[in-house]
Amino acid sequence: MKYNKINVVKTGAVVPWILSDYITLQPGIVKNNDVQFMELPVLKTIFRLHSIRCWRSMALIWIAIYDPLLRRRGMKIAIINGNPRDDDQAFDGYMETLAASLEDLDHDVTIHELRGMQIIPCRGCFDCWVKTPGMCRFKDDTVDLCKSYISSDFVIMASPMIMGYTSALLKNAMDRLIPLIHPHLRDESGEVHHLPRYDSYPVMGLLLSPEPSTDKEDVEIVTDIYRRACINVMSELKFVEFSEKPAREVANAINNN
Amino acid sequence: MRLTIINGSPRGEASNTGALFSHFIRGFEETEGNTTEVLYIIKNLKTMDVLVNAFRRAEAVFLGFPLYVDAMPGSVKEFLEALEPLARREGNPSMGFLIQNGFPETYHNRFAARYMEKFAKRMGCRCFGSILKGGCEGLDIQPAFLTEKYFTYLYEIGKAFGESGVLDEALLGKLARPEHLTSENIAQVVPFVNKALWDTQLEANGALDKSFDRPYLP
Repeated sequence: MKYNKINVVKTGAVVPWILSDYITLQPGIVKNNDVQFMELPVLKTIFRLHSIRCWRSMALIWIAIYDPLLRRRGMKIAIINGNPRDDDQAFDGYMETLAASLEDLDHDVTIHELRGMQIIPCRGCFDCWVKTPGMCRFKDDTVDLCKSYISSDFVIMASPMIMGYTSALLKNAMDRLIPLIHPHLRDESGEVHHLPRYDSYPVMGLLLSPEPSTDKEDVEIVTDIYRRACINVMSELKFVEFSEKPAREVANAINNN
Repeated sequence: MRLTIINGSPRGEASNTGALFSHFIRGFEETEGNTTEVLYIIKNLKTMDVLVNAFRRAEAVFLGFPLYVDAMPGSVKEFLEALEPLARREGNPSMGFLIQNGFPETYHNRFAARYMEKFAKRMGCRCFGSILKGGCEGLDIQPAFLTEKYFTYLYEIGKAFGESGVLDEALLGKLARPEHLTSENIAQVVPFVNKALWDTQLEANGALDKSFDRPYLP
């Protein structure tokens, strides 16, 4: 579904492509709208505005000319921390460093520490699809989690690997996200998947800490499953990273993706 | 053989997973001396001790569950984590899996099955393989000619397994059909499922007009 036609004019005084590199749109905008990019010098742009016939472009031109350093400013990012272990302070500490780094880059970050939350495992009753559409019968902490999730641009699923997969704690939370989608089915590239309920959904990143036995196959398995889960929540898996990588580098990767 | 069946469906006894298992068990028990015990994860959420002890003394375990967000339900993962202390223990049981999903195609299950088979390896368990089936949401409202076909295959898979201790690849393949759908099939199936399965329930609950509500908008 594409909602609006948006012309994005990447412009600069002399060489448009220098500035054009600085312009990136929030992933939700690109996904849900028909976005056309053009590269023009400033003067030509002003002359062409009439023919572009889209006044939304004005705002973007303004940004391009006066604030070329603006890159995804104001992305709303939710870090869903599925670490079940009180004694694994290093993992929680990493998430805090990551959040701070992302805030330094002007993003709005919320950490959801699942360990302290009430998350009743999904019962598969489908009330959220057929009785109270969009709402689960259990009014626990996943109501706020769902609200935060759906209003985010980027969600980071974070968990230590336990027996070759992300934690049960994180999986219980993910199972409770299904009120966010619609029961109806659709054809998605030759496979049957669900219909969206909301206009836009966040993209996803997966942040893991390995266990001693973690091997290449485990990473492949978990990546494949998350990539497929993303199709069902209208998302896209942007990265799979390990907490051995410095938090600042992960933050930069999220910022530049 | 004594088979320990662990049903990981959050719906417990009234589950599609349970319906599939019951036909498998019927076939399995045709061979004299074969017995089964069935345990439910949903009844053991507070503590997994009963399940872990059952696993510890079992000869062979079949774990079954519905696909939730492309993987095992969270409560099944809780059970798998509770088994960690038994990893690579001498005398662990053999393991097999039954994974069903609500989409029409079986393909969706392949990724969770790959995980489960790696899990068996991690535990040091010999793995029988996985029984996979799509199209399992609303088994009770599907036409009998369809469900009877699935149930017969499950019975035959159970029977062959009871006799030989091996999951018959050819039967698994037949049960798994359709692995994928063509675009034409999808175009036929999707409107039917949307109406017969979902809109019918929405209507019965007086919620059809609220079907696309967005209560969690900021």
